[in-house]
Amino acid sequence: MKRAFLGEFEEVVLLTVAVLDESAYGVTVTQEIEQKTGRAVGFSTVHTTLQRLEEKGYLSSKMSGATAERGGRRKRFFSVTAAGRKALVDVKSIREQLWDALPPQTLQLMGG
Amino acid sequence: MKPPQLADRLLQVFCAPHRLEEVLGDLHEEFAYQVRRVGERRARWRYWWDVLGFLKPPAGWPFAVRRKPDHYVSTSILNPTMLGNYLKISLRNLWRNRLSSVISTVGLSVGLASGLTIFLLVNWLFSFDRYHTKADRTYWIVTDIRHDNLVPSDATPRPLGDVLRRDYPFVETAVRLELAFRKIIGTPDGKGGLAKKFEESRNIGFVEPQFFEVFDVKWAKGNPKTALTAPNTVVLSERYARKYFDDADPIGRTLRFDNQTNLTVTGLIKNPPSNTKLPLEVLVSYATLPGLTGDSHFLQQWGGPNTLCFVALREGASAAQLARAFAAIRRKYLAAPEAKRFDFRALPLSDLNHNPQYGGHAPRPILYALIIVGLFLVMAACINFINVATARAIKRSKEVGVRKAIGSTRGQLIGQFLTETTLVVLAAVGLALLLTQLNLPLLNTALAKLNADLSVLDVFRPGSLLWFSGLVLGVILLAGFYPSVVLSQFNPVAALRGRMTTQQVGGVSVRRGLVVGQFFITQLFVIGAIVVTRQVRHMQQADLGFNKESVLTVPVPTTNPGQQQTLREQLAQIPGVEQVALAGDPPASYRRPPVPFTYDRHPEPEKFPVTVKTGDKDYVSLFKLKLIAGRNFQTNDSTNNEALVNQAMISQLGLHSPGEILGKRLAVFGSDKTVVGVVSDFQVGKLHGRIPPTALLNRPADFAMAALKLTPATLTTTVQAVEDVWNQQFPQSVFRAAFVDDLVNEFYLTERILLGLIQVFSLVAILMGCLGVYGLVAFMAESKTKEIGVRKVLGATSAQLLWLFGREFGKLVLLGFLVAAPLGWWLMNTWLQGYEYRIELSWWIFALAALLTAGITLLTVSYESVKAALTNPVKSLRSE
Repeated sequence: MKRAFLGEFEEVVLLTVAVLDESAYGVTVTQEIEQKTGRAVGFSTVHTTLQRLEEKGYLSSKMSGATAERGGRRKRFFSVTAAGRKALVDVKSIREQLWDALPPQTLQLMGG
Repeated sequence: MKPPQLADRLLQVFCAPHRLEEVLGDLHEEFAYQVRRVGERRARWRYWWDVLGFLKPPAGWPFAVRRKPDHYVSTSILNPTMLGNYLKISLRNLWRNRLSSVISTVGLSVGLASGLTIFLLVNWLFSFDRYHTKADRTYWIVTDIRHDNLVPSDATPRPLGDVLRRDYPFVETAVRLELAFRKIIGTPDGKGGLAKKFEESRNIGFVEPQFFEVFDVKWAKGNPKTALTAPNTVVLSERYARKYFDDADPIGRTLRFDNQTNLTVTGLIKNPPSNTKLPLEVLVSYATLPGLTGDSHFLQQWGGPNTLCFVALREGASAAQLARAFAAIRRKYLAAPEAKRFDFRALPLSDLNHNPQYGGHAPRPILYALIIVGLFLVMAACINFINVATARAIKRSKEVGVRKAIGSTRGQLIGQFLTETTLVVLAAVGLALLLTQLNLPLLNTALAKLNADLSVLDVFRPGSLLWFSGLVLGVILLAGFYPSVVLSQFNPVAALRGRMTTQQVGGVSVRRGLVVGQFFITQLFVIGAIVVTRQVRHMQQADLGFNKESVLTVPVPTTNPGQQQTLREQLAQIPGVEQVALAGDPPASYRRPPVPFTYDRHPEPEKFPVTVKTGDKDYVSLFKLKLIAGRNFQTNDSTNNEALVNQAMISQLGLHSPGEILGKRLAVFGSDKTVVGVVSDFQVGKLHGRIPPTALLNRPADFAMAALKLTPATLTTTVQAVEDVWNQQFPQSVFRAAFVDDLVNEFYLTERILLGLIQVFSLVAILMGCLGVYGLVAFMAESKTKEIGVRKVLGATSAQLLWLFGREFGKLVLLGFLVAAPLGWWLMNTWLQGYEYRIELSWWIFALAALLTAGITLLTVSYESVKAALTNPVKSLRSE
């Protein structure tokens, strides 16, 4: 089976979109990542990543109706596609396999 | 609280269009949030930082946010389908507005044709003698002779060319040549007479064999190296060979030169092109010259500048080396007085046609002025086109609105309108080429003296193609760019709601400015035409100081005094001939260089030279010169050495009254004369300069013509009788009769050509102005329909409505006049400074120009505006 490849930041963004569920768009995704990970992310980085994930087919997007704020500009809402969910599950299962394969004494050393 | 606008602009440029909205939206939302969180200043910083992040190219990509074609991206304007569409729509549009398309095309083509004619002429005049392979390193040696003032001469002392060639290695080769005037060339009939005889001037000359090394001459037959080495040999052009020998092979045949010597034809060259100042067609070997004069030292005399000299330098040699050589040559070869007075100069070969003081026909400033005139005419045509096109724009505002709503980009709209312009311009160029070709024969005839053979095909030569395509491209851009920019910038909403008004269709000020520009050009031309017309008429009617009516001149082909007197007696017996005088030339003639002289007992020659006219006792009375002191020559006997002088001589010598000079000595041409009379000033040449000090001598050796005063009533029969008598007397020579007033009129050839040109061009400018004004007023009338309707309903009279239009155009004419009058005054004043006899630039000339323009404009405006003013307001107000 061809396995999906996800970069680390891509994974974070994809997960965040999944977390935010219906309300994932540029601003919320950025703020969510900043709050949850405590790391400063560039606006442009998030946007390009979102776009790349959509090209890979993990995200789908649709434009909202006109908004009253932000000069009447519309928002692009993202949602995770079936392929996206599968990719996330794949990544998670790989991680779990790796964690499981970890010898117990090493796990203890790491404070786990 | 707004985010930095500059950053937004930047993003608009770099961000993919289909992503712009959401990105901008997100940024603005984030900005508002950050302002609340960290304050405006830091939020702005962050905003900039974020925007710059979008400009940073992601790995492997040259641009930020990837540009991905989406469903809404426009087709490229260069897409073949789009190009086809532009063409189709353009043709339909042009066809729908047939009348205005034709007006635009005709206006543009008339302007272009005038410009093209001028540019062709200038191009030709600039091309003179540039086609020779060595043209860029060939120099023309001239001699400036220092008297009180500088007398320029286009020739050099005879040995100079030879010395340069022999002694200076940086000279590759040099050629000496002497042009001959009025020589009789005949074909011997084998019985001592001539089968055919022709009088040749200008295209006959004595040249060294090096001529063919310096200049590019195409040979048909013969060897260029050896053809002209021996004396009494001649090379003919194909045209002249046919003239003398018909179709027979000319090589080896004999020609009789001026009844002096026989020449053997040793070569045949192709006819010279029209753009050379040395269009020699009968090239006699230079070695023939000493034999003709009977003086074997003839070629070694450094006395005066007699021979033209052209030098081709080796590659890399400079004109400065020539200048140093001249200094050395002056010291070595010239006697002390000449060394001081002769100043040799090397002029580039390309100057040959542009130096009026050395006989050039086309001074550079005149050519540049012509180019400017041509550009003015083309510009006037473009302005015209722009006016009509922008005026029409309002009709197309709906089309533009629909196109924009459907999704046309501005670039596509500009493309659409430029296509239309290009079609019109190309049609106009075609028409202009046709018009030019029809005009050129006229110009060629006017310039027959210069052998002009302009053809519209010259445009397609490699050198000309450059400026021609530049011109066409320039016109397309100039004429098409502004209208298309104006049209494409309409706001679709306003356009579709039909709210376009005159005010919105491209700045009214721009169009007003253009019309003012056009009025300016028109009035400048009208002022020019009036002034030149008046000046030429003034010169033709000016008092020349002598009588030129019904005076015929015929040549005197002998210097033998006995034969001269016989001719005079025979001519005097012809009924209808009232009086005969023998002379060198008429009072006014192409000026011969003045000569130095000594006055009274002065030890040194005077500081100024004297212009010499020769004539006998009857010269004064025949030409009705006024004697103001002393007496005329007493007899026709020249041995008593008498001389007459003019008033200018008296004043230049500083004498108080004409009587003082009587009886004084005048040494000129190496012999002493006694001044016996003073005549009032008469014109001795063109009416350009002051009348110079002049002396009238009785020198039979100089007599070249007989002047005959004829009875006006029987002119033609008398001329015939004169010809018969003359031919009996001189069977070996060619009879040529000319009336003095015709000769004098020839002086104004340049002015008459100028007059013709400026009259034609002012007509063209007026015509184009009319077309432009008509286009504009038609448009104004249309856009003011409602306004006029409302005004009529409110009680305005027709006169008041007409004033609506009159006021507008009156203002524009006045503005144009305010610019044209001072410039016209300055230009015309500068031009008139070149004439000693000139008209005054009085105010009425300018008033007339303004009135004329205003009148013509009024006529053009009146039709459309009267129509608009008379329309029933019910009609104009009803339609919505």
